Order: sequence, then C-alpha cells, then structure tokens
Amino acid sequence: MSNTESDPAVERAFSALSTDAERGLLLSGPELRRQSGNRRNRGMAVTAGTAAVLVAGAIGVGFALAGNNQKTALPPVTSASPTVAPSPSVTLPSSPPTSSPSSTPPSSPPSSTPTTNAPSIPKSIPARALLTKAESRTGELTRQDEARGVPEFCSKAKFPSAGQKGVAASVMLIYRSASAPEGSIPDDVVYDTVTVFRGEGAQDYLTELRRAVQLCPEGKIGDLDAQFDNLGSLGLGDESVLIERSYAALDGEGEPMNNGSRTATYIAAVRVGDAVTLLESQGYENLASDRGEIEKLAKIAAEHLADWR
Amino acid sequence: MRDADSFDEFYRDTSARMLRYGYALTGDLAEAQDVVQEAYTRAWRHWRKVTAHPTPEGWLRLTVSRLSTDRWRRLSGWRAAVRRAGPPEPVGPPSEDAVLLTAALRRLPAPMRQAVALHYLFDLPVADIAAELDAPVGTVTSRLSRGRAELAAILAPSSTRKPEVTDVEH
Repeated sequence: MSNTESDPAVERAFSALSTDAERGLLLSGPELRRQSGNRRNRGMAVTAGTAAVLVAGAIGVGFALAGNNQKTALPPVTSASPTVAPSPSVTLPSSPPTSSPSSTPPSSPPSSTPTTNAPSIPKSIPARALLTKAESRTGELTRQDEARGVPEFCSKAKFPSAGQKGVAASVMLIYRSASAPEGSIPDDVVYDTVTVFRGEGAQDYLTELRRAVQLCPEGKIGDLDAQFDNLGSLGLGDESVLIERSYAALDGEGEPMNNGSRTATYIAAVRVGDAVTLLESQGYENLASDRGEIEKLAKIAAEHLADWR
Repeated sequence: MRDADSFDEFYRDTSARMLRYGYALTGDLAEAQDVVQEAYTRAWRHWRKVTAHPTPEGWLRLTVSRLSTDRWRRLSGWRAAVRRAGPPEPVGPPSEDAVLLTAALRRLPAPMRQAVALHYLFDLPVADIAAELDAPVGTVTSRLSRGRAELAAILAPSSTRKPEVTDVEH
C-alpha cells in the first residue's frame, strides 16, 4: 500500500474530527501569554486569582472557540476577545480598595480573642501599601483574591505567628527591570504580601522565617528539591531578611537539566512596626531571579509600607 | 513588543490545527485543549528558541505529542488549575463520527497514531514525518500503511475484520 494512497473512509473520519475540534476552547494569544506569566511554574497550580481569570475567560473574556475549517481558525483577537486588556476582576484598581472581600484574610483564626492593648488593625490593606503597577514596569499587576500564605520550606518550618495575623493582602506583578530592552520578555514574577499582625506577630514572623532556613537547609518548592540560604539583612525597615532558594535548573520542557546548573529565586521580608512586607520571587517561568532586582523591589516595598503604616 | 506580536500571529495561524492534532492523539477534546495550551505556554516561554527552530510548528507538534503521550507526568500547572477553577469544557457533545475515529485511533500504537495524524491533518510528506518522528522513512511508510488499514477496517461498517493492534503505548 502506497503511503500516498487515500482511504475515503479515513479521510472522512479525519474531516469529521477536524470539524468536531471546533467545539474546543482556546485562550486568545495575549491571554495565553498573560496566563503564562501569571502561572506559578515548577509543577504548582496557578494562584486562585489566575484560576478565577480562567473561569471568567471561559465565559467570554479569554477563551475563543477553536474556529472553523480555515487555516487561521481562531477568531481575530479584535473580534471575540480583547487583545491585551485582562479581565477587570484581576486589574488592580487605581484607587485604594475600600473593604473588598479580597482585602480581608480568609482564614483569620476564628477563636482568637482581640487583645485589649493591641494597636488597631486596619480593615484592609490599601494599594499604596503594596508594590504598584508602575513599579512592575510591565503594567502587569494583579491583586490576589486571597493573601498568600507563608512561603514553602519544609515540614519542620512552623509559623505560629499566623495566629496573630490581623489583615493581609497580596499582589502579583510581572516585573521587567529598568535595564531590559523594550519588548523583551519580563524578568520575573514577584508576589508582594503585606501583613499586619497583632501583638508581637510581626517580629515573630521574621524570626520564624530565619528559623525556617535553619531548620530547612533543604526543602521543597512544589515537586522540586530546593536549598534555602539566609543571605542576611537587607538593612531595611526595623528588621529584614533575604532568603535564597535554589533548585536544579529546568529545561524547556520543565524537566531538570541534570547538568549541575541551578536556578535561584528569593524571599525578602521587611518589618515596619507591626507590619511585614514580604516579596517572593518566582522567576519568569523557569528563569532565575536577579538578586539585585529583588533587593531594589524590597527597598521600594519597604518605603511603601513605612509611608502607610 | 515584537516577540509578542510574532507569537500571537503564530498562535492564530497554527493553534486550531494543533488542537486537531492533540484531539487525534489524546482522543479527548478537553484533554487536547489542555495539552495544546500547555504546549503554547512552553513555546512562549522559549519563544526565541522556538523561532530559531527550522520548523516552529514542528517544535509545537513535538511538544503536543510528548504531552499527549505522557501527559500526566509532563503537564504541570495548567490542568490542575483549570480543573480546580472549573474546566472550560468544549462546547456541546462530540460528533458521532469523531467519536468513532478517536476510538479507532486509540487502538493504534502511539507512533502509528502520530504518523497517521501527521499525514491526514498536516498533509506532511513521508520524509517530513520521518524527520519529525526521528524514524526511518521505511518505518514511517509501514506505519502509515498499516495504520490506515487498521483504521479503515475499524471504521468500515461492513468490515468483519478485527484489528490486531490493541491499545499499546510506547
């Protein structure tokens, strides 16, 4: 049987499959790129905020039917889906949020009794306390529906200060450094979380972070084996700490390269009074974070926190 | 944003074809969506490398085929996230003809399924399929010939022949 010989039944069947594939839903290109930047890689799920975008997209914003039988099957981005504008649900308002649900901690300890001598805990974290869209240098900044939890270390790391948490909020920014050429891919994905604690919670949190590195020289980031190192104080706020977390570099398929090269990302925490701003860099997809850039962002974040609190 | 523009154009031009390919390989349109979106996510992550590839679409096809045949290990966050959020299911039920073909394709070994899908969906010459699958031309010719015969036998309503090949994954 020649390889060029055609079987009409098989031809028809593939034609039917091609037609049937038009039921499929695909993101528009800009939305896919944006999701790519939002996504936590290394085998972890995307954030709740991103998942919400996917839901929103499925009902009309980001997804498009896979098209018809023409070569360019996706509808032009100008027709069915917006080109660059993300869902309004994920865009940080230019004005500080008032008392949106996203600003209140979803898991406040229900049994904790308010301390009589504690300074007042604000109802929410205003946008100005966090890194801003302008500082992302990409314009990509998303306020998270829920504040992020503590960073991953290992099972030995404990954070009892979570019981002192008053209010918290997180933003995710896709960051491009000032030195990056116009049009280049971003340099990093960074989460900034501001938490106001009751009592000594903020001091305890910094202590617990340092202790976590001691207890977990090796731990996990998602499925990856990671090493944690305390790089010392950043000299910011009342106290601060910079933590490096490194793991075997990944190839284009997201698999370890097994050539000895390593990728580093960072956790930077700065305390100002009863509040902590914590940056967690993810690296842009599988790329490493730049320590110098994280230090710059930490300085800005600390200034925002000090100005607000 | 030259990179973004070129990626978007490439995506618009190729993603529907790629979805058909993923559908043929996985037999499930929802899975194909996941696989294809994951493949393009990886393509964007390494866009400059992909554009330097002799056939960027071939790079995508290779990624789609790898994800399709080994998807549970290789798919990272995408599916989990979409599942958690409530997956955007394909619109409407599959057509009867598509169900018949995907069921028939599942009975072919993965390399044979790939060769047949590349032939019918992309109209690739045997030499190109061989290059893409990193297999000798003679092997690909044989897979195509046998794959078509198997599919024809399964799809033909009057056929009494039972396919010899079962659901074998390589």
